[in-house]
Amino acid sequence: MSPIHPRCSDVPTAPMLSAFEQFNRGEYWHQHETLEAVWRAEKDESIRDFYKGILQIGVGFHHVTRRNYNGAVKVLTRGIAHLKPYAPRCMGVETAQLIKEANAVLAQVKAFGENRIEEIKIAELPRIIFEK
Amino acid sequence: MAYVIAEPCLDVKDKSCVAVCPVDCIHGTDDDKMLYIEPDECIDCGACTPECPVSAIFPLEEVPEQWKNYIQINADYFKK
Repeated sequence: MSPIHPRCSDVPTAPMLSAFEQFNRGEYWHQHETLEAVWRAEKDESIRDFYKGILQIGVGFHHVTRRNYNGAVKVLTRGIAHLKPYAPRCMGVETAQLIKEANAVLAQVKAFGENRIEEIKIAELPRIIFEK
Repeated sequence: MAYVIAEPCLDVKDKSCVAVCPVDCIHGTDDDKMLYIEPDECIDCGACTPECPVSAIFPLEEVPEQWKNYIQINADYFKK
């Protein structure tokens, strides 16, 4: 297992916490806007994919809520890959847990397919477990 | 809805838009003549539009009449 990224011991900033709360309320488009600002302001290239990974998992869920099969599969797959280097936890976020649960959603989306994606229960989409 | 890359990108491919897209939905290989937005992946944030030096990127409903065919060109690129 690769060593935990040194920035992962950082305390999450107020905008990050706000984004996580938006994510957990199912406000996936808004969490994307909030985390996008954090991602764009970050100068340390080595940690940018942490923000992008969470952001894209949220966008993948957004596509699930829109019953957009293709978008959900592609963006969830990418988001999970971006977040993997920051497991098992980073900046207070239980990243390994989020990756595991996002993978389960991805598998469910693929199993249901384009014609049955509407059967996925939006209220049961995973939440980010994080320390404030 | 999604954003669409139109004709001004042809043979330009500046790629400033790629760097600011949080969803990584702007694609194109070295062999392509322009870049394309995957409409299923795009979340309509518009971050790409102001970055384009040739003003080639438009929201779907604002694509100029003469470049409306690029809506389909962007979508078709991902059906290959």
